[in-house]
Amino acid sequence: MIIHDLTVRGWRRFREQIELSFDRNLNIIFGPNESGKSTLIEALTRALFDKHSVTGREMDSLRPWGSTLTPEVTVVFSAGDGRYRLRKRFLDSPSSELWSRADGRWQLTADGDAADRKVLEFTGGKLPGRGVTRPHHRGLAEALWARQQDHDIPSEWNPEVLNHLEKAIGEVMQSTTSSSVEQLISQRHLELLTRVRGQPAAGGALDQAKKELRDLEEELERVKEQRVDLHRRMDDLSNIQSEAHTLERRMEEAEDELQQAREAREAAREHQEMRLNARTAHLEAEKHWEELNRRVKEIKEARKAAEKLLRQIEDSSSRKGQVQAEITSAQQRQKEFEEQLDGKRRAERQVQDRLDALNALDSLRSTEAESARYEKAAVQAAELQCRLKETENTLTDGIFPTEETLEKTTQLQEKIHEGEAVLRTQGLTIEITPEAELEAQVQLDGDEEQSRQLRHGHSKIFTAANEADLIFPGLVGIEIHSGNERAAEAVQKLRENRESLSDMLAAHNVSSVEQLSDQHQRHRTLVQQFDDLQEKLQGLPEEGDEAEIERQLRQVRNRRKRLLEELDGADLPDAWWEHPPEVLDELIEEHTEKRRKLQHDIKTLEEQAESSREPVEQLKEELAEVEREISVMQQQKQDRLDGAAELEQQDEFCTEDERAAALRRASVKAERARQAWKELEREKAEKEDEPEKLYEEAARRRDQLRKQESDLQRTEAGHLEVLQAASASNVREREGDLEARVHSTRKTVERLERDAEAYRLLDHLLAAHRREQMRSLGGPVKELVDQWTPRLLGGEYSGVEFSPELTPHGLQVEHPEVTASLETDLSYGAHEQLNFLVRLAVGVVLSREEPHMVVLDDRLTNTDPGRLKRARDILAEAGERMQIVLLTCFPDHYSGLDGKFIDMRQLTIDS
Amino acid sequence: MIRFIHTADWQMGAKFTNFGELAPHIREVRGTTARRIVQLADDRNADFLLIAGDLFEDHTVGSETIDRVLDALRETSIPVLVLPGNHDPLRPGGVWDRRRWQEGPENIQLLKEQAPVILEQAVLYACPLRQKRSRRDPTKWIPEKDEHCARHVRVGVAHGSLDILGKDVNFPVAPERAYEASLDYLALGDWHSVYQHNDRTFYSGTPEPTSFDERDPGQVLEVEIAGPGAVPEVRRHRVNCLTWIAREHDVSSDPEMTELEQWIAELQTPESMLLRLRLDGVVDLECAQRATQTAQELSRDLYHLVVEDALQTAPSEEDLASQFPSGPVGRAAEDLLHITTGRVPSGPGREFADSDPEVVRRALQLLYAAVREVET
Repeated sequence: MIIHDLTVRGWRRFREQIELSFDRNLNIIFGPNESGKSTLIEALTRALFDKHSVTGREMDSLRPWGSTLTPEVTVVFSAGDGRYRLRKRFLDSPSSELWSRADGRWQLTADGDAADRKVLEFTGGKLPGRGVTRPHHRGLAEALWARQQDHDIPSEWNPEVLNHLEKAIGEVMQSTTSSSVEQLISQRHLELLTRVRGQPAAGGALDQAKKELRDLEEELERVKEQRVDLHRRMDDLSNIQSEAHTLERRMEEAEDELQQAREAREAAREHQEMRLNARTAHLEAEKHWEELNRRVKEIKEARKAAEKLLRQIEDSSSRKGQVQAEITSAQQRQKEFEEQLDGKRRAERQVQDRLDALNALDSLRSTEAESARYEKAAVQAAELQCRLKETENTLTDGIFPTEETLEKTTQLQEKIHEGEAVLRTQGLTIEITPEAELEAQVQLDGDEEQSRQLRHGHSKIFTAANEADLIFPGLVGIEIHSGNERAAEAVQKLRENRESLSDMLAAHNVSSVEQLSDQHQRHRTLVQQFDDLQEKLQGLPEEGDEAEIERQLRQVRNRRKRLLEELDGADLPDAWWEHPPEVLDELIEEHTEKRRKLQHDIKTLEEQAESSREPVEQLKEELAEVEREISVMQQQKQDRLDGAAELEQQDEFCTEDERAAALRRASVKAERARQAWKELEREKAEKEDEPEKLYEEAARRRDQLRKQESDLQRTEAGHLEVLQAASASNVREREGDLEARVHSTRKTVERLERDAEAYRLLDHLLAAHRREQMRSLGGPVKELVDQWTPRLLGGEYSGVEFSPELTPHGLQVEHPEVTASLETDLSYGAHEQLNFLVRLAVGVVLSREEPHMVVLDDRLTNTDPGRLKRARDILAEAGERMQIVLLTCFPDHYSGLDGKFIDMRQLTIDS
Repeated sequence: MIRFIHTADWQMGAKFTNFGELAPHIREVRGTTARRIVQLADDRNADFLLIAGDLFEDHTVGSETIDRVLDALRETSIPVLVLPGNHDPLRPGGVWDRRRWQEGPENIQLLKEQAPVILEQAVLYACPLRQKRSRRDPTKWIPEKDEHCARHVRVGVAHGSLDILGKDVNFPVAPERAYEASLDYLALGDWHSVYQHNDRTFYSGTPEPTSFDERDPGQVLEVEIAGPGAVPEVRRHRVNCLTWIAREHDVSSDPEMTELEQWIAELQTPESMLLRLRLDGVVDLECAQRATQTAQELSRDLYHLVVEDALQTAPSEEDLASQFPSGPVGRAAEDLLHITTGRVPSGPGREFADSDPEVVRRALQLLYAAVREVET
């Protein structure tokens, strides 16, 4: 199919109608961007492939901006042997009209949907379910038209392309049936199984059948278990019946045994009664004997006890006598102690009297001494008063330097020393070292010093203001060391100071500072002495107050008088009056010691007397106790004797012999009863216990059997109940129905599985043949592309790799084992060039029987000038065999080509 | 003279698991058969109805099955004597202990003991089974002579296999038991096909078929015995509701195919027929398709149809060219044909040479069917 004329109106930028005619070979439509080149191709696409009635946002956008114009397109084309004109209006009052050219006139062939369908027969397109068409709906155009908005070559051509290729290539017969069968098989395959893993397709017939089978099998399994349980219960029931028979026999045997045991037990009960009676008789005889025996014993014991008590009373009486004797003895000892104590106390009183006298004597002596001391103190006080007066007079009469005066003289003395020191350094210094001891007169500073003893070998230094001032008459070996001018001034000052000092010393009647100091010191001593005297005076009794001393003296004398009066009555040895105080002290001490010893003895004796008093009390208490015991025992003895007498009076056997005879008879009777009872006791195990035991065992056996029987009956009843219930719920019938459904469903699953496998096999086998066919179909296309590729892309590429679906996926390079991948290894330019070549090659091959149109909308935009030039050559070559419509912004790139150049700007101006 | 109906092996409650959704109905139909037997007994003025074992398929049958039997037996007042067989032997907790059964009509008598049962003119020597399997002859106890010999017709009733097959059988019955025990008639159950062993020994077969392999089932026997020592007069009566037919047909040639179609067209009462049809022969794909279509059409008329497809499809190369379109489909068909005939295909089909032949055969059929589907 090729296009001759195209008219567009009310379409995007073409508000007004534009018309253009196409060359049947090469057409180059050029113009700048937004000049409407691609809009023309879009109008062509909508006309040839979309329903006139299609609506939607994409279609609405066809109207020119801001207008309500109706998009309209008219195409004149050739297809097969006919020439047609198609006019379509979209959106408002949509319409579709197809005319055919016959006899030089246009005749309406179809309109509306029929016209749409008819056109699709020419183009090989098919309508989508809804909306506008996509490239894969557009038949051959998918392979031949490279529109800007479409992708590059798809991964798989639509069947129409392949069918046309088959037809064009003529290698195989065209078969749409085969294609439909393949689709049908593939569809059936995928309805049953997943493509990759071959698992049942979810929701598919096989999947559903398998699910149903699983559900049924699970339900059947449950019912089967129920029915198996029923059979088991029936088997149990058979066993139970068998066991019940056995049990019945054993029960009869047990009942017989029990009856025998019951009879034996009755006999045992009789024996037991006899035995118990014998025991009662035996016990009564024993009791009678014991009663007799007890009374005999009691009488004997009462008399025996009375005798024993009598002996005890005698023993207690004897003890009573002993205690009384001990009391007497103790009281004697106590008396002796009291007498000793009285003697000691008298002696102690005597010693105390002497001691009191000695003390009074001692006090008398002290009083007399005190009296003498007071008299002496009165004398001392008079002396001290006299000395105090003398000292006071000395202090008052004497000239004593004050502290200030002393200090002043001391300062003058120091200044004089300083002046002398200045003279020693500044003045004339003479050192004399005599060769022998000598007395020398020295005249210094004009004054004559007293003679001085100059010792042999010892130096002596003298200092003077000048030589003239120092004269050593009679001395040899004088050495003058130094002297200067200031010495005179120093001497002057020295002289003044010496004069001041001399005046002050003269005022105090002394010749030297040391004497002045002594004077001052004496003054201080006198003051001190005065103070001491005053203090001594105060230290005398009553501060030396004579009156007070007198008063004290009187008191002492009175006390002495009282003491003498005291001593006057005392029996004192005469010598004591003469004893000195120290002897008196010894006597006092001696008597004190004696009194202490006596006091100790008294205390000891008092304690002994006290301790001798306690045993007597105890003995008295013991005596009272013994007397009480004797009284009690006498009462007891009487009670016993009374009891024995009472028993003897009560007893039927009055005499002891009678009682002994009765006791013997009772003993014999008791022994006989005991033997009879013992005999029956010995038989008890055999005649009572054994039958009882046998009876119990028999009863237990019977009870166990009854229990087993009861258990069996219960189990049997349970089984029967379950079986009845299962019968009521028709378990077996349900199982049968389920088994039938499982069987049927299993058959279905098996059939579907077999069919699924068969469809899978078919699908894979058909796909293998389809790939094989593709390879053979791809031959002519590949041949052309292989020719053009080195021409366009250069010598390093030797050809194109095609996929089984006849779409290019790589370029063969010179290396035999390397293919450059279309997606990863090639530049965008090479990529678009390869697609350019494939579309041209497909177009050339398809045009072998009938020419087709190839659309290339701005396809070589990334191609360099060299390759563009070569592409131009190939275009020219291909354009000879089909119709090419090439849209570009750069017409110069294609200048020189022998084709129709259509200028979009001119086209717009024309319209 | 006595007259009674001899029947056995009703197998009430059998599952029929191979029949899918039809199974409950096949079970239910046996109730109708039971009514027919009871009606026949009344019609023939039978003295009693004798069921020689396997009245029930199993002890676990449900109430609906027991009711089905009792509902039928309630329709007559003549004595119905029921012998426990190897499917329903006497055992505790079994079907005979069901309350439904025990509350059944009074004219039903279960033969529980190996003992003579005295009837008005006959004495019945019952041989009930108490287990499912045994090597012992259940009829061995029947006395050769007893006090009933002179005045009563002696009828033995047992369930087991006549020991005539030359192999171990379950509950073997001495072949000449009837004569050895001086029986006037030995009524046997267990075999589902009608069988007469001698003048006095008969299997009644099942009154309603249970499988395709039974020979002449669906009947009961009317037995008439003039008196002690007389030879029984036995008449067969057909009572079955469903007919089970197994047929094999070779459709290798067109006439054979036509013959099959003719046979099908002449079938009587197909609506009550269960047919197992085995198609055999070596055919081309068209013939195989035709046979399958015929079977499909037939299945619409029949009560039930089981087709066993044993056809071997062997299209010729010419057939392939004419029946499959060119291109991948034609080549694939060629490959499949090669594989089914043991040849290794050339080209892409080679990798499928080891496929399961059964799958390959089916694939060829499906491919053929798909082509026909697309073409039509």
